[in-house]
Amino acid sequence: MAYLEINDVCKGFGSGTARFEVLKNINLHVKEGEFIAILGYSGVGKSTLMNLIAGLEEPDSGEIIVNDKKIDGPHPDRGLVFQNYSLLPWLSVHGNVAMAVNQIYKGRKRSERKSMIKKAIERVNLDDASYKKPGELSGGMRQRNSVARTLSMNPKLLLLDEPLSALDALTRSVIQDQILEIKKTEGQTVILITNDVDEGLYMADRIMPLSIGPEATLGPEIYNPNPYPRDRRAINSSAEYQKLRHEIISFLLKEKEKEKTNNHNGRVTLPNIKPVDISRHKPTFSRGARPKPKKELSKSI
Amino acid sequence: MSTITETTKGAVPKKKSSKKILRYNPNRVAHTLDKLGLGYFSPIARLIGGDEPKKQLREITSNTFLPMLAFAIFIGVWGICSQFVVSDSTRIPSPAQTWSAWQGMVDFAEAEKLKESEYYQANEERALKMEAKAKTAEEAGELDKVERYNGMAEKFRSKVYQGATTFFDQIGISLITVAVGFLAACILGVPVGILCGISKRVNIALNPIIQLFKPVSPLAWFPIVFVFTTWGIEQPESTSIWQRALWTSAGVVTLCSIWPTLINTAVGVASVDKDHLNVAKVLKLGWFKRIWKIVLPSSLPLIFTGLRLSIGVGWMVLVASDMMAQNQGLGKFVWDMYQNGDTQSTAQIIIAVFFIGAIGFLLDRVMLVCQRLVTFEEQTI
Repeated sequence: MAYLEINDVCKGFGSGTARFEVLKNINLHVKEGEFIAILGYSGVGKSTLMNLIAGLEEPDSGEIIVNDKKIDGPHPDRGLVFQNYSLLPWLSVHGNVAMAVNQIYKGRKRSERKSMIKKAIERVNLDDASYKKPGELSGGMRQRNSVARTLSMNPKLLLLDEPLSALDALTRSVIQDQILEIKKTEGQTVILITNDVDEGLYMADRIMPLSIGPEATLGPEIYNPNPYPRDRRAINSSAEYQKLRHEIISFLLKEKEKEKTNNHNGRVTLPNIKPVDISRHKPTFSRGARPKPKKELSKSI
Repeated sequence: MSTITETTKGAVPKKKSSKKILRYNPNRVAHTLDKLGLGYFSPIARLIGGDEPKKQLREITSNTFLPMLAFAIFIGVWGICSQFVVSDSTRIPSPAQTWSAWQGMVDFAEAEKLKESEYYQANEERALKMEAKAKTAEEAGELDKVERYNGMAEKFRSKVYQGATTFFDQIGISLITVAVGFLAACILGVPVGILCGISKRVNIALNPIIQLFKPVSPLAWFPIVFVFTTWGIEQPESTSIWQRALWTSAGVVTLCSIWPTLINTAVGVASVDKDHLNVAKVLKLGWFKRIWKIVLPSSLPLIFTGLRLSIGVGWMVLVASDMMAQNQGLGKFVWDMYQNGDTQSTAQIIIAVFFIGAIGFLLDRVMLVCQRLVTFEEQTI
């Protein structure tokens, strides 16, 4: 039985002529404890899919079932780590985590909550900086703070929305390992959204590429059966990884080709505006001397 | 892999030893001074710490010399004006005349203070005499006299000195008036602004009223506020400072200074980062907690920007409203001196102008400090 089921989910934005279908017929079944990476170009609707699973947005049709229950809004069991950290800048590292713990575990004793906060901060190695505000932290530290906040709620499903995309390569690899470490000890189900093929290959059991929208949908699933902990160097050298990577990349490249031919016939339409040289008509306030706007200008506006 | 982990662990700052905190850190002191709006003193703080002394000295000299030069030019132009600008009854007083007028004001205030203390002292002496008489009467067993003497003693003690109001008393009244008006503007403006920011409907409903009344001059508000205060506030004794005129003047200040607070609060609340609201959603915060923990803290910088603008407007409006309401503040002082119409009075008005400017500047600085204290990250104002 799958822990998370996404059945025929569609989602679009806007109405009338401005309607834009983002996701169409998304189907995904995730087993408990599985690590899924969803891979795709930016702007195809990866974050929308994540917001749907988190419950921040509702699907137009279809259903999302977690633990045999159709989801209805956000729930602390589904912990979302935001792409841009979303730390509250007026609170310290400790304060940001405390806010989540105090809200989710309202009923618990004060001392118990305190130790939960402390544990969450220690888990991401931020205990030395716990008094600092997000503005005083580096990007990697901020993201670790954000992860700590989400982990402090003890979610069964961890949703990582491009958590590492804004970090430099070294910091990124460190946090990747920290996330894998946490996953190993606590055994959550994890869905990671990323645009980095290697990150997906290194971290996930299964990689699902997302096609290019509108009406994006999930492509062929690619399994990575290699056991954890994985050797980062092997991704560059081993033939098996090369093959997996080749599969993913060729799907993504095909999508890009399709997009070019389908949507624009290889041509880019520019807005129909003609420039007008207004420098020739210096603004003046004397009667009659004011230039009439040129036809092109009024037309294009 | 292990090397990478180690380097990042090393990058996490170690707990500082207490010695390090106690040491004078010129950069930190300078930064604090900058934050308090006292940027002028930050090179001095750096100089004390021995940080690039030459550069600091150069900065101090230019920071001091250039403003002094400009001020000297200003005094010069003023002096020239005082030679030529003449009307029937008065002329622009020279800087020297203004200075002596200022000394006259100080002397007058001191003399008044002396008179006041003498007055109370004399009354106290009289009261003591009466009490002594009461005592002898009590010993003689004349009870009706005891009562009368004691009553007289009390009367002497309760007498209040009613001398002329000095310039400094009037500054005090002005500050009280603007405080009352500004406080009322905060109490009304912030909650209404929050409502406007939260609810689009409230905003649509109130926007025309706000836009309509925002540009109205204090002079136009005055008669309307006057009707309200005469209707709603009983005139107290003449010795009380809470005169009807003060309430009228404060009301005008409120009506003119409420708008920046209201609008900035509304904008601040309406423009809360969507990500922060998503955090509230994920944590399932209730309505009140969402406002209190997310919306308010994140809009505090803008609210305080509004408050700072409001106090500036309030102080500017105050002089006019004091004039109209005849509230014993700086406006009344200027008006009375204008009615006197001689050069000496004009000199006193110039003094008042300097004081109005200086106090306005100080109020602005106080608000700036408050504003910077609630501003997070590296936001600049």
